[in-house]
Amino acid sequence: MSKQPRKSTPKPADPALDAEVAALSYEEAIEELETIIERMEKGETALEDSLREYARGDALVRRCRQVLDQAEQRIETISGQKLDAGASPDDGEAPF
Amino acid sequence: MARRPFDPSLARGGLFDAPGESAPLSVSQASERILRAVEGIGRVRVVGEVSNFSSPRHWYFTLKDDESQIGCVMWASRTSGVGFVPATGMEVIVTGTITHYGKGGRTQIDVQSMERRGEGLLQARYEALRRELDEKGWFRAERRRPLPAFPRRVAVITSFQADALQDVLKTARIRAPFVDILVVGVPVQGEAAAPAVAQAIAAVDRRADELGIDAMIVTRGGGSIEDLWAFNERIVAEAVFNAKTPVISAIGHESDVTIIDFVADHRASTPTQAVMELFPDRHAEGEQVDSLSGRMNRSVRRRVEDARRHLSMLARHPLFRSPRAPIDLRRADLGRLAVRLASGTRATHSAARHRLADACARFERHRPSIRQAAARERLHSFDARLHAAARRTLADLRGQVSAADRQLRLLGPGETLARGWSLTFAADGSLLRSAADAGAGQELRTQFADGSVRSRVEPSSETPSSTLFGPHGG
Repeated sequence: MSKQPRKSTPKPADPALDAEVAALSYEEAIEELETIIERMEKGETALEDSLREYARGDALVRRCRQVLDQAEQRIETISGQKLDAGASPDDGEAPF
Repeated sequence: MARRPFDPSLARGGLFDAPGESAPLSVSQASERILRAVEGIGRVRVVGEVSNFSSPRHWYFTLKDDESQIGCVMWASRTSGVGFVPATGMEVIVTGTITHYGKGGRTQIDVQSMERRGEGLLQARYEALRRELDEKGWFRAERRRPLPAFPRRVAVITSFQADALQDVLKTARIRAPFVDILVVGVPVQGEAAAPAVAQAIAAVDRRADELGIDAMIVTRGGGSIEDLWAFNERIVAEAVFNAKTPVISAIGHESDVTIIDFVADHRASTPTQAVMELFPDRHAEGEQVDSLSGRMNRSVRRRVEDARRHLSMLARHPLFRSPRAPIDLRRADLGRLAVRLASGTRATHSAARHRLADACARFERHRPSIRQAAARERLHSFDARLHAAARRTLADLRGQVSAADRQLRLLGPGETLARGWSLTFAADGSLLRSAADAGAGQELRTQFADGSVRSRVEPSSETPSSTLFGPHGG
């Protein structure tokens, strides 16, 4: 109980943690978040573990929101033939 | 097929000149014979391309192929059953009887029914392939792959020009702008369509990992059965069947069901519907994240509060109110023991003394000299019993004392010594329990709370005090 925060919603914004979580897909992040919450709700984790897991869960929530808030859709185009030939989608086709 | 000028020499022995018959036929007679001859052909099915179509009421048109043509007529009473209006260039199959119209000098088909060419053929092919693949188990629900709950990137296989593509992009932009899209352009109708679509499906599937594609949508808008035909081809069905990446098909309108729809992991009725079913909804997802976040916050808050409550409960325990509490408890026990020990000792001695006085009194009462010896004897025995009893009692007491002493040692004698008690040890380190044990000249060590002193016993004629555990003055 050395670094028990006064507020129950600590805002750690640990950059290392954020970077780690940014590598996760939305689905992976949601899945891990659910696992953390289930463990917490069972109340089996030690207090310090709970706080550590909370920090991670918080980063996961931010990761998910970041994905959902993405406004620009990435649309690429390629002809079926070129795709089959192994070309990459950024071949400058702009058929729209 | 230009008509040649009439040449009687050629006509001789011809079709209509009965051998040996010299009288010529009238045109009508000839026409009549033609009519009879062609009617003998009976019912025919003829396929050809429509030209010169006109329809004042009845349909008149010519059916032709590369080399020949034949006139057709279809009476208004029958045209309503056709279901489409023929147009020049259309390939149709007509069913009817060949007849000869004498007034116009035309041999033509009296059409009873008409279908578009390919329609029946395609229908038959469609049914055959559908049955075959169904029997192979390609349509079984359990072999359908589940759609990804949250695709990272979706390939859309369609024509770049298709309205279907615009529908897909518009819906995807609103619903899930965070899902990337790769549009794979293919022809979606005509001869080239089926191989191109199959190739694109296979290519997307092969490169799915590399391109991060989690699912594909194969789509095109509505059209005639010929327009949609590519999606009824075996080659396309095979590509979908072999793909490991989930495939959603959205071909034509709701009512159009193509072979790819049976093989695909999921069939959507329209392109827009395909997006609705594959792309997660940003609002619903946002709600889920909010809900999870709330659950986590509540949970951790509860956990911290539990810990805090537990801590303050521990802090309220008497043991934690004073660190001396357990020692004080023990000291109280010890004090009670000491009191019992002292009063016990006194009681034993006074009882003994009482009995001695009693014996003396009785001895006095039996004074007569003849009994003196016997009485003296008994007195001795009383005395012996008295001593034995005293010794026994003392031994018991000593046991209690040493038990108390052990307890005392456990807790340490410091506190007791501080209250003014002292401990005296013989030279060999043994605790001195009796003045009698202290022989003259013996060296003693006396332990006080704050230290010890050494002393030597002076010779003395005083008898040892019998009140060893009397109130201790020091």
